[in-house]
Amino acid sequence: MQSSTLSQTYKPAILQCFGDIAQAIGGNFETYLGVVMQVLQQASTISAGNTDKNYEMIEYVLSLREGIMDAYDGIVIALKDKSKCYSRPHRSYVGMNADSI
Amino acid sequence: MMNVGQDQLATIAHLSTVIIDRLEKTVSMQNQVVSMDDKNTLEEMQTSLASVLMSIIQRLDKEIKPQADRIMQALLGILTASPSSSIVPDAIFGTVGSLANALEQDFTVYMDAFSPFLYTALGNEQEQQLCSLAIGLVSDIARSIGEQVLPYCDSFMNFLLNNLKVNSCYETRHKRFQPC
Repeated sequence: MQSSTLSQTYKPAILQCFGDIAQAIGGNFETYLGVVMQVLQQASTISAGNTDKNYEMIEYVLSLREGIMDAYDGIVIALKDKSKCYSRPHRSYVGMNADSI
Repeated sequence: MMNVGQDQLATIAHLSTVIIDRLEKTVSMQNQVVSMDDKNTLEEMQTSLASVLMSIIQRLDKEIKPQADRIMQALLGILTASPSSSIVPDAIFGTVGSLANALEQDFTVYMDAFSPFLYTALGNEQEQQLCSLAIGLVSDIARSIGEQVLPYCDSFMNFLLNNLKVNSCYETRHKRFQPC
């Protein structure tokens, strides 16, 4: 995410993977919550921009957002017991992402 | 293989023993190959055997359990012996993925032996194909064994986050990830 030159293959897959890991380990995902949220936030700032004709880029951004949503999905399920305390600071990010889509 | 009827499952189970036998034989052959030709033939053979085994595992699902020990032993043997540049690990990872899906919780016992290979694959960005397979495999394993994945999570997360940073340098526009 650090760089905007994109490798299209794995990033969405890695984000999905975060979601799967989160679902698997439940509340223990807390340890990684901070860094993963940061990554997801960075990922959500990537957009196809005004390049109308660049279908490859548009497709990539769509799959990336799918990955972001999968990750949020897993994290919310994982932390549902504790979500009252943890989701509050992040709620606005999720809302922001939803807006941009 | 995937569409075989319930009544033929015994045949398939028998077939799986034959395939595992063959796979075990290829492991010992690996030390004997000298020429390039032999090596290619052997790799082709291992890849094909591994994909047949993958289909069998998907069809038999939980019924594969009695064979699982032998399968994993053969697969790990091949992984140890083959260089990461060959295509064999790709096929092996696919088979391991289907085994993880089939065994669910019971796959945990193999994690200690298998995770080093997974880490190597995750850390090796030069082998894009293998790396993306490994990422899919982490997902599969996490879904299968649930909470038991916890001891391996630290390493997984480190490798994944690292991949996110590193792989921006490698352009892979023309490859698409295929979940296994």
